[in-house]
Amino acid sequence: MSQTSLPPAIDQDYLALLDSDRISGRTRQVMEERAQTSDAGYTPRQLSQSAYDVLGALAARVLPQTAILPDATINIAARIDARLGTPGDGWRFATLPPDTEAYEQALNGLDSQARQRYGTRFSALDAGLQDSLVHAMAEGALETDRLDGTQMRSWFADLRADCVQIFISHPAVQAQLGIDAVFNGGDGVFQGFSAWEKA
Amino acid sequence: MKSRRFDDHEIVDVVVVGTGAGGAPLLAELARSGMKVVALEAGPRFDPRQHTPDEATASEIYWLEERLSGGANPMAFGGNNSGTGVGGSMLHFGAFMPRIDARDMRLHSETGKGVDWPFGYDTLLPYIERVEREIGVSGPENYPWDPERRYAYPPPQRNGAAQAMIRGCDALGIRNADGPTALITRDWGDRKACVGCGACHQGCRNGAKSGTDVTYLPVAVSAGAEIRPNCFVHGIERDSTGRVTAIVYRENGEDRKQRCAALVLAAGAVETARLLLHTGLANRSGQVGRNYMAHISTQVWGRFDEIIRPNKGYPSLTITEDMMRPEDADFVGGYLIQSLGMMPLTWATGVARGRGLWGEALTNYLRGYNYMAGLGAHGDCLPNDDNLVTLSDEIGRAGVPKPKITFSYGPNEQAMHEHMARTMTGIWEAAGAKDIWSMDRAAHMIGTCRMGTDPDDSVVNPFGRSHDIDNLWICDHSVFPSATAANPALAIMALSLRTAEAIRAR
Repeated sequence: MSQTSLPPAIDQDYLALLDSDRISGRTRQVMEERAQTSDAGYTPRQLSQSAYDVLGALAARVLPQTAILPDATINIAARIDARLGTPGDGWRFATLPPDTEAYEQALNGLDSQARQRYGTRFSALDAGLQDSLVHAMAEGALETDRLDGTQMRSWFADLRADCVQIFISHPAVQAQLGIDAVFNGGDGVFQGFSAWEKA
Repeated sequence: MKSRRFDDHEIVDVVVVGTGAGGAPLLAELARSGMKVVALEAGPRFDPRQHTPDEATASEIYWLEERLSGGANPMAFGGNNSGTGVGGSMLHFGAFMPRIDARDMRLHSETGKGVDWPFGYDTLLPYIERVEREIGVSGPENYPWDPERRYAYPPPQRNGAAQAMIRGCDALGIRNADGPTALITRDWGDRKACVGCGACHQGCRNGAKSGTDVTYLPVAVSAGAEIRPNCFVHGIERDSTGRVTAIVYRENGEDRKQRCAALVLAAGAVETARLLLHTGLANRSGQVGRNYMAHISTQVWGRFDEIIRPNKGYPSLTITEDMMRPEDADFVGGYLIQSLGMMPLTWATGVARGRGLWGEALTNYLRGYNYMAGLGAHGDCLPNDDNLVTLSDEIGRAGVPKPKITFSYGPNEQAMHEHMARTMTGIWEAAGAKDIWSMDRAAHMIGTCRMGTDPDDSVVNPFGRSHDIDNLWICDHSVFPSATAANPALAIMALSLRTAEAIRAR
């Protein structure tokens, strides 16, 4: 996945709302930090470099960003790697090992399937062949060395959730989609949306 | 809400583990009667003004210690399911507060399936009405399924999803109403009226939502109770006769004890069972961890032509109880339907997991967020021998094994799920939704220490006292003999007041 050196630009109207009294100081700080995070030179801390490379290529197929962010890309692989160093979301499939291990095994398994079937690493495959592997994984039909087809399918559900959570939390994406959820009230006046207009 | 701190060596009258719907009403009741009571809360004390609608950050109010989820229908925990902090899961609960349908408490008598509760709805009703009065619940002037019922506050404003559900139900002749919600719509003391910020699940910032953090806990503290946050209980000490003498907890990495004359576990259906399994106590029946249930909580989503903005307003206002015993049911029991708005991250997670989209299809679907509205059901679930909480072989917090939850639908749950999906799809078609799809999911954790009169078949008696240890009580949704269709918080709180009476009487 190509990576721009700057984080995605944010729509001016949204930036004005970030500066307004409709958002709390704490939430403003969270959103601004997230907006300014640049993962251009990110090196993985939880995953191996090889697994991380597969994740970068895979995330681009699972959640392509151009239709929403035409000029820049959020480095989802970097954000997932960072997420894997946190306590997690409170649960995991009992059939899968702990998250970091599951990611490592699934990504390496996907890569070795790419080599076995097409003679090259996953990230070097063309998009069509990558998608055929993803499709098999989604159907529960991708057996790998460590994880069977059912486990890979479960892991793929976790991956999709991680991708969309990182993506839709980003201020640039919320700006593009017109999502105003974080502007539900400030510290001084807690406006809420009680008297909202429909549009 | 500053409180005193009892000395660890002082024998307090009662230690309560947990400050949510189960622990807090009882804590207030016992403190008001002059007893020395301490609540130990595993999570921190949050400043409500610092709650944030950013969902990723708001996960601080969820129970994030890892649980292993197994079975044919593994449940998601953490987000919008299991809470932490002073106030427990009511910090994040959705405030939807229907009452139990009386028929659900005697399902076995009615159908030969499931179980009956050891007492009827009439026993519970006075406590339910008291909870509603004491915490503040809003609802319609005339509740179609219970015309006698009155609510102290008028309903909040209807959001886009609520209006769409009314349209769909009206077109099909399905009765509907503004649902009962545990929030106030007029200022009350320090608490402010709901402003429709839409972030109930991320923590209420102005005290409108009637969680224990702004209701029973301040009452308890002003009556002399202590609330001790950041304390994870992992041991129970007993004397030679087997009675509880102290609990062991970890605070700031250090193990401490609090001596007590009686112990109440109110940590929820997973953590209460986990602690009892870990300590090996109160399980002569072998029932601890068994009969784990959830609500069958199928959702249906659709896209509307008009803008909805699903993050705005109280998320889930419209209700129908017409499916509590549908005429064409091929299952026993019934379910409620409510309208669903939803915050973006929660919604996108449901799309990613539940609809299985990926690639351009996923990206394009996310673009429609502002035009989406949903319907959600909560349905009864039969106790089943194969659904249970056990200890895994992985070590978790303070050395206690991580819990493993095994949950699978039986034929009744599957049939109910399919009926829900059909019914809600019909409502959404009638409301004008397009691209309608349904998501199979279960919510809420119920059972694992059920109450009953037979010590061979239940963990606690009908008042919540352990059959095995006479100064150990359980007061949360683990004691529910059956799930019923209603969201559990109201009944948990009602039972908490009832258990408090029983403790006081001893």
